[in-house]
Amino acid sequence: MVELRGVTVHLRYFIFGPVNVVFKRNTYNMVLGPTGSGKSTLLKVIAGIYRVSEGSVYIDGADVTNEPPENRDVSYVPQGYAIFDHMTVYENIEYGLKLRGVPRGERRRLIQEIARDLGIEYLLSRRAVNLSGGEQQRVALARALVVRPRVLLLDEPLSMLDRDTRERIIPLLRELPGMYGVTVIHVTHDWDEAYSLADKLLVINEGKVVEEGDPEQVFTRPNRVFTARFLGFQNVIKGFAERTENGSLVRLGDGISLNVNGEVDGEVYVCIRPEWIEVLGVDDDNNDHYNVIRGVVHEIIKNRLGYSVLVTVNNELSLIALSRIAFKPGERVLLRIPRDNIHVIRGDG
Amino acid sequence: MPRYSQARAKGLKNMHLFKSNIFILLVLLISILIFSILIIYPLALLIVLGFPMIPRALSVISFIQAVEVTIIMSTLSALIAIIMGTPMAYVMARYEFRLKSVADALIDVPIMIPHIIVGIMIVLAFASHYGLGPFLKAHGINFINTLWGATAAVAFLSSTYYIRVVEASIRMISPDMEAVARTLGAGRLRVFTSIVLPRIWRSMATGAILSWARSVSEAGALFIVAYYVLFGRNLVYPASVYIYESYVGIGLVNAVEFSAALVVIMLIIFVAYRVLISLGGDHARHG
Repeated sequence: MVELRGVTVHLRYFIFGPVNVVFKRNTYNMVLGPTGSGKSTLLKVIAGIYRVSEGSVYIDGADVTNEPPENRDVSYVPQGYAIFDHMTVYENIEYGLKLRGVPRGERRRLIQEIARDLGIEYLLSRRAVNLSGGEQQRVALARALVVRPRVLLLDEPLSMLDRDTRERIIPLLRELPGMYGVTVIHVTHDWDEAYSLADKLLVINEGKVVEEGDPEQVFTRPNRVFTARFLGFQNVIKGFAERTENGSLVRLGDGISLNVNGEVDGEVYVCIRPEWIEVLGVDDDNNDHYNVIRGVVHEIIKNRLGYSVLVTVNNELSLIALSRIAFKPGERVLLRIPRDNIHVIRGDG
Repeated sequence: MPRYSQARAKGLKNMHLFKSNIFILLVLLISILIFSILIIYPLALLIVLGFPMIPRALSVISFIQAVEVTIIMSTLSALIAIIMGTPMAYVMARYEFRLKSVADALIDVPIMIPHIIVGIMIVLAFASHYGLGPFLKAHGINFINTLWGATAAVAFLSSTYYIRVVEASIRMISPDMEAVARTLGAGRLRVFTSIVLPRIWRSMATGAILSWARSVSEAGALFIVAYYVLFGRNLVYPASVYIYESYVGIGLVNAVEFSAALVVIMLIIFVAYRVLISLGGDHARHG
């Protein structure tokens, strides 16, 4: 278990914290945040690379705030993997074992074992240069795991891999807490990656934790507008809500309003993912479960899943929707938004 | 009509390419010309004229002694640069601190001060009635016309080169690599010997030979501190002062003889040193 209590770090141009957070033992924790939000700082604080200005860091109940990195039993895999390229792959993995005084024969056995687990036996005798991204990543993981750390810190471990390698390595990462009894803290800015791996999700912005919880809840029901935008709610619209006998009605101005679930009133933000909006030709179909809004296609961008369509509803309001049909700019369309899929955040979020 | 204009456009483009190539060629030619006249020509002339006389120069005992003193003094100064400069280079490359820009400027100061003044400073600091002078005198340590004085003067002037070369090479090492080594259980010293040193020893060697060569060349500061050096029971001129003496006292031809000999000796040491470095390990990339 890793716990940060009121941790503040003063860096040259940046203040991190105060952060209070708990990562439970043997769990996979994802820390999500935009570039420069302080994600890597969080890892370096736990590793002991950055000195804490205020607050304390606990690992498995012991206060390690003033312990140097070498006494923390924490392994760190930085973004570029930092393979020791003046050594062989074998020597890389051996490095931590040697420092812990593990005898030679035992070292050999442990290295063979972890290399087999990670599928890098064929690399062991090679000098650690000219390895592919995936190989470097696995060597770095082997080097980090072979010493059986209590905590494994991964800084954007997938960002330098191609899509294929990434998809092969995700299941491997998912296994780590169970296989090696380690608490994993994995930093990323990619929310797809976070969603597929996390037991617990932490969103960081400007050095502060803005959201934490289980991924399902954070992804579908974020508490803050920042998180909603960051997690792919491309439509975040300010409105004014009033209760109705069946849920609430949010007025978005200029005669446009949306029926939503739950009883809210006052200033709110309506958050809708583009993939939840259905774009239809002119086919009028309105009932209680759907909100239907008329608009004109303004711009369309092709993407992996179809087309991202920017629809102008009126002077103030445009919505982004995902469609499988290639509408043309200028075409009139209906947007159908299921009320179950509208997430409402109160005005102070 | 469109075809015509197309061809014309193409012609213009070719013309333009041609012109810019001519320009680049011209710039290159001028650069090579200046380099040849300023650097290759004098060096070649010295060696060509002086080469046949080198055996004679090497048979002059006082000259051999001068070279000997110079090499000892320069080697000592390179050692000082390594001992003093390596930790400084590490700190400058790795840490941010208040007054870092001041420290940065201070490291460059020795190459900015006229060498004669450096000589005056060394005398003032270690061999006058001021500062450490009386203390050193009381303990029988003399800086004037001794190997110590000469070494102090050239070390003052040459260590900057060492620090800068090593600093640049430490900057090339990702701090993440050191961080990883720390988390794997290595203390600071162990990180330095197992991660940093294998990557910078080549640059340390390069920096050391640069500052060594700089020390061999020194004359200005030595005019003040150690015009001659008490070496064993002999009074020996440092090589550069020796050559100056031969030029002023005897003449150009005599000076050419010793100059060629000194240049050739330095080149031989330089090349041998390079070869030794390249034999030491196969990861040349880190150098």
